[in-house]
Amino acid sequence: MTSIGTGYDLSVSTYSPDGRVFQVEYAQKAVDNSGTAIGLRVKGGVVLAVEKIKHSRLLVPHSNRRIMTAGKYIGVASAGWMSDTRHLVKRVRDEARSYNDVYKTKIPASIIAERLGMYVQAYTLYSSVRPFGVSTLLACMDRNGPQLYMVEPSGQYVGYRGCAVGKGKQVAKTEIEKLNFDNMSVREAVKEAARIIYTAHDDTKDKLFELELSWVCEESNGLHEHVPQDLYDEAVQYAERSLDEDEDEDNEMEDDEDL
Amino acid sequence: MSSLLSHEIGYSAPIEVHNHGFSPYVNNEGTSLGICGEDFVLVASDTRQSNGGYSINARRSPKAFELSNRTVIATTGCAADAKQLVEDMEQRAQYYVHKHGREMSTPAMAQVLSQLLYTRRFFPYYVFPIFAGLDAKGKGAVYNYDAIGNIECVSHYAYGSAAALLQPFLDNQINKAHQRGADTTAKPSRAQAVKLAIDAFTSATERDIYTGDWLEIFIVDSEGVHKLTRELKHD
Repeated sequence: MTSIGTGYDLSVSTYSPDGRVFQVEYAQKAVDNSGTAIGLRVKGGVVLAVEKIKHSRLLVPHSNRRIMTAGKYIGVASAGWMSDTRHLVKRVRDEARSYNDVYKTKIPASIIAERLGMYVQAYTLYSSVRPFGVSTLLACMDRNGPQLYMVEPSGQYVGYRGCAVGKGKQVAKTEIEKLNFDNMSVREAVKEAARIIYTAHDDTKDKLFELELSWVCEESNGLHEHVPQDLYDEAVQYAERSLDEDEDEDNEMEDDEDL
Repeated sequence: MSSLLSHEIGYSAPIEVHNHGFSPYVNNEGTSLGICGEDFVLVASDTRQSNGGYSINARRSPKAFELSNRTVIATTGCAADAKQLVEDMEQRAQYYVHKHGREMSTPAMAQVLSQLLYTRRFFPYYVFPIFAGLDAKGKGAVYNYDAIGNIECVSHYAYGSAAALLQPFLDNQINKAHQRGADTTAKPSRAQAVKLAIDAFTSATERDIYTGDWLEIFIVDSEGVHKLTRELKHD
């Protein structure tokens, strides 16, 4: 459903009569048109997974990463404009650095989420700038354990156990809600994340895509990094196998109907 | 309209320099020290405030304060700047509590103090603080700073008018400096540290005119901050 702003959507500093700021909603649309990104928080850590849609076969595999690291311990995955993402990641890095300069401690998750949220929100106040067309997932481990935050183009930030943004977010959210977070290990979460991305990926829309997986957990010593190659391969196999199983299930059902 | 700029008319009147002799800084003297133990820290200051000459401003003006239930700070230098600096630190500590929902850790506070001092790099606080506390694991840490925020984590330090008298004494007694064959790894026990502080100050009081009146000792351990007061000679 496309909302027609009829004059109230020309500037982010204008409200509509029913209390909406259309420019922020349009920014959200930019996010919805991008490749899916999901985050899963389990007891032992946080996993980020991104459906990196490749627009050309000429792109070098594993280049143009969509999951980035800030300050060694913070993972940033996003959906939306990549150029805006890079700007926000730079901001996250600067904030983490300045916090460390003052307190000589790594920045807590809630604080970095707040700082990014406030920064993004500032761009929804003035007509001279446009809002960021990015939804950012922040994954960190601090003294309160693993945490996952999502910062939206409006500047709103909320902590999640599991969240999804981008094209396939509806499908992904459905899958995420089925997961049992309390009893999942980080390795299992990595495989589930891969499976969910594969499930949410729509082959008819974009053929080429690359899965990016990252984690921050005890096994990575609290650092945010892309998952080790062996675990990545395992996860991709698991994802592809579960897709095949779904297809088989569909085929079986068709046979029953024939009878 | 003719110009009367001095460089244009080729003449400048002699500039009268009024040397008002105003210095924004005053040294209120006095002495402070800090000693680090295994699971405690000790910070001690005398309470005499002078005006740099032979007069006494106050006999009982505290120079050491507790900042939280596991950190203390001792100051020397300009009493007005010290008061402001301690207030600044208290405000920063409160701000942190409101923001984070918990107290600032000792290493974080140490860094904040350094940063606060350096913010005034071009009009410094005339204060030489000693900051001490227990870290998250309960181990003691003592930090000393210069007026612009250079931070050092040490086992002991003395600042103030009698620093030159106390520092070598502490080096010898705590680090066993210049003692052959002594065990240099042992840290002082709590009782030893208190005795050292009292002996150091009573000795300093004899020789330094700016040190005396009362001694306030703050000890921080796992149970919190404890304060001892001892009287020193009033002459």
